[in-house]
Amino acid sequence: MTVLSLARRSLWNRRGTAALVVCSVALSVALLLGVERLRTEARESFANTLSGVDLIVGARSGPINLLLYSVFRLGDPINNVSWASYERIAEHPQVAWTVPLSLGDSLRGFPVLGTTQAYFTHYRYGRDQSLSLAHGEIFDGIFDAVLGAEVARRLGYDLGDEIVLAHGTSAVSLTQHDDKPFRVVGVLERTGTPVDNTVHISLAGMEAIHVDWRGGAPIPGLSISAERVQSMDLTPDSITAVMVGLTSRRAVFQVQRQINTDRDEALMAIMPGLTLQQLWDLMRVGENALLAVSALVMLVALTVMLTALLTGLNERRREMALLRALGARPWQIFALIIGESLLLSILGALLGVVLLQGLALGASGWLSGQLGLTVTLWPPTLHEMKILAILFAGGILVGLWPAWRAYRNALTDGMAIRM
Amino acid sequence: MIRSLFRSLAAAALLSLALPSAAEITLEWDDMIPEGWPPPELFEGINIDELQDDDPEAIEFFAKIEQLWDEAPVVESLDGKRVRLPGYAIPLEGDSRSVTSFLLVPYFGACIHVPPPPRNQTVLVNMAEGKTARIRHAFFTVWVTGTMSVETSETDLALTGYTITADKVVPYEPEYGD
Amino acid sequence: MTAPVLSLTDVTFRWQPGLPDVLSVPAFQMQPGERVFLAGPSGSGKSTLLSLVAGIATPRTGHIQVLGQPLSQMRGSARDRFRADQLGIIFQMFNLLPYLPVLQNVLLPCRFSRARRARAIARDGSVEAQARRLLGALGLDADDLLRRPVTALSVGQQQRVAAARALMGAPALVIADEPTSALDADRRLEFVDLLSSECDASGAALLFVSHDQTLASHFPRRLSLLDINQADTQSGSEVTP
Repeated sequence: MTVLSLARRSLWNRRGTAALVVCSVALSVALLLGVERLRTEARESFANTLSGVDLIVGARSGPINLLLYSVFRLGDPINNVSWASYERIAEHPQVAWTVPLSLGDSLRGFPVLGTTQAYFTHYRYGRDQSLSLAHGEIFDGIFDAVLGAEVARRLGYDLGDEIVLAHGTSAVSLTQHDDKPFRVVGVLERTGTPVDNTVHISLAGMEAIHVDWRGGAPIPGLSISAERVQSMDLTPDSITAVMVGLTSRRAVFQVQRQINTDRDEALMAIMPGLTLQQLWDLMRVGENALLAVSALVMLVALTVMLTALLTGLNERRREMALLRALGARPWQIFALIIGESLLLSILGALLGVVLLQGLALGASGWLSGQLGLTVTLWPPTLHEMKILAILFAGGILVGLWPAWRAYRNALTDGMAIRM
Repeated sequence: MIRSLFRSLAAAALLSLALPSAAEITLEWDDMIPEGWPPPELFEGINIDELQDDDPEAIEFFAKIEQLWDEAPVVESLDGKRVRLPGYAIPLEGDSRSVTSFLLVPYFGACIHVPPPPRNQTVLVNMAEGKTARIRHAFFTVWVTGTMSVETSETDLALTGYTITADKVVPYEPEYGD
Repeated sequence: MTAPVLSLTDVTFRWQPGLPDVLSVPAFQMQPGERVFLAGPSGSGKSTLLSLVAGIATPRTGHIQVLGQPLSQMRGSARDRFRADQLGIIFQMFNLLPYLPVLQNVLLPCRFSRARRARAIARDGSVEAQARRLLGALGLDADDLLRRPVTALSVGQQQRVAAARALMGAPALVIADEPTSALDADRRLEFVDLLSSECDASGAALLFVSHDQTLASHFPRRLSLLDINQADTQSGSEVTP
C-alpha cells in the first residue's frame, strides 16, 4: 500500500519526534492497562481468598477491620474474644463447626497464626478448594509448625528446620521467643491467598510461648522452659477471632444477631461475602478516580500526538503539493496523515504492553510476598482489547484534523512553491 | 357474542404480553407467608412506636419475635414452581462480578433496631450450574428467576426454608401499573 | 494531421471572483513530441498556466484538452488520474521527497499510476530498470547514488533526478517550471540538452517555462507568454491567494 509505505518512511524521517510521541502513548497505555488489570486481579484474588465460611466473629470494632486482620492478616485487632465466648459459640445449636484464630506473632515479617487442626479441614478458597500439603503433615505437637508456600520459599525452610518466632507483627522484632523454637513439620501447596504467607501453629503452641509473658514482654525473673510447658494446661484465655460454619446458611442472620447482641461480651459477627462486598464498594470511589486519571493521561498522550502532527504540517506543505503534482489523489494525502497517526498509536500501544509486562515481572515478587496477590498479565482480556481499540480510534480521530488541513492545502496549493 | 369473544381474546393476548413468560409466577414476599402467621395475639397490648430500645418490655418482645421468626412456617405448595422474585441481594460466595450464591431479603440493612427477616422471608439463592450473578454493591436490588424448592425438617428448624436455583438475575427495575 | 498533445481554446482564469483575469489565452497548441520554450518575466502568469495545463486548477471559461481528453471538463478525481497517467512535472527546486532515497523518488509516478507502470515495464522490463536507464542517460549512474538520501545530492543532481522522474513511464507531456534557475550558469545548457534528448527519446512533448533567454536557442519553438496571453498582467498577479 503506497500510502502506508510513505507514512512509514515519513515517520522514520522524523523519528525523533515520532519516538517522543510513541513513548508518551506507551506510558499512558501501560498506566491504563496496568491500573485496570491490577484492579480486576486484586478484586478476584481477594474474593477468592475465603469460601465456605458463614460468619467470622471478633471483638466489636469495624466489620471491614475484622475481615482484614482475620483473613488477610492486614492491620491489627484491638481486642480479643474470650475463651468462654468461644465455647458458647461452639455450642450454639445452629453452629456446625468453629475454627479459633490467634494472631499477633511473626516470623521474619510473616504473620503467625495459632489455630486448631480443624483449620486445615474447613478453610476453603477459590471455588471451594481445600488446603493441601506439599510436604509433611499437619501440626500435632505443641511446637510443630506448618508453613505457607511463600514463607517456605522465601525463607528457604524445609521439613525439620527449626524456627524462632518473634513477638509482634513487624518485620524486625527485638523480642524473640528464642527459648521455645518450633519445628517445621509441614509445607502447604501454593494457594494464591494470604495462606501462603502464614506460619501455622497450634493454639497450644501460641499459648506456650506466651505463658511466661505479660503485656507483651517476658516477665523478668520468670522463665518457664519448653519441657515444663508441655505439662501445663495450654488452653488460651482469649483468641483473636473465630471462623464459623452453620448448619444452614439461612440461619446466618439469626446467629449473627445473637452474637452481636451478646450481653456478656462486646462481640461482632460478620458475613465475609457481604463485608468483602462492602470493602469493594468503599474502594470503588478510589478505583474510579484512578481510572479517570489514567484516562486523562491517555488524553494527554493523544494531545501530544496531535501537536506533533499539526506542527509538522507547515514544513510538509511542499511535500504534499509535490505528491499532488505526481498524481496523488486528495484522499491519499488525507490517508497519509491518518496512516501516520494510526501507526504511532499502534507502535505506542505495543510498546506500552511490553512495558507493562516488564513492570509486572519485576513487581510480581513484591506483590505476592507483601499482599498475597498473584497478578497475571497475559493474555490481554476482552476488556483490555476494548481499551486498546478506543486508543486506536482516538489515534484516528486525532489524525483527522491535520489530515483535513493537509487535504485542503493540497487542493489549494497549485504549482507555487511554499516554504 | 363474537364481539365479546374477541375482546376477551385480545385481553388475554395483551395480558400474556405484559406478563413475563407464562411459566413463571411473579412472587411477592407476602406470598411466602402462610395464612394466619404471625399470630395476631403476639402484638396485643404492644405499641411498637412507643417502645424504647432499652425498655425491658421491648427486649422481651423482641426476644419473643426472634424466637417466632426462627420457627416461621413455610408455604410448601411453592415447592418445584418456577418463580420470579425481587429483593435485596447479600452475596455469600464469589466476587462481585460472579456471585455464585447469595441471600435474598425483602428489606434493607442489618441494623440493631430491626430484627432480621424471619425464616420464611429469607431466600437462599444458588446460581444454576455454570451461571453467576453480578451484584453491583451490597444489598443490590435484583429480580431472581428460577426454580423454588421448599425444605422442611421436623428435627432441625435450621434446615427449613426457601431455596431458589436461579438461572437469571437481573437488576431490579420497578414495574408500574400492575 | 495528428491530434495536438495540448490545446487551449478561449481559456481565461482568475484567482478569485472580483479580481481581474490573470490569464486570457484564445488559442495555444502543442504537437506530440514538440519542444516549446515559453518565456516571460516572473509574475507574468507562467506558473498559473502550468497549473491549468497540469489540471491542478480549472479555467473560468474555455477548454483545455490534453491528448484529446477534455481536461478542464473532468472532475477532480479524473484530472488527478489523468495527471498521474500522462504528465511529468519538474519544479524550480525542492522536487524530491526528503524521506525517500533517490531511486524511490524516481519510482513515485509509477506508484500512483498503473498505466504508467505498465508502460515502463513494457519498455524496460521493470520499473527499476527504466529508472536506472533514465538516470544514467541524465548523467547519474553511480550505484551508491541511487541509495543515497536526496539531501546528499547537489542541486544540479537533484534537478536531474527530477527530470528522470518526470520521464518515467513515457508521459505524453513534460512540464518544466524554471528548472534551471537554481543551477549554476554553466550547468544550465547541459541540463537543457540532457532533458531535451531524453524527451525526444521517449516521445514526450516538453513545455519549458523560463525567464532565461540564453536557453531559448536550444528549442525549435520559442514564444513569450505575452504572445499568447491577452490579459493585462500589470493588474494580475502571480501570487496565489
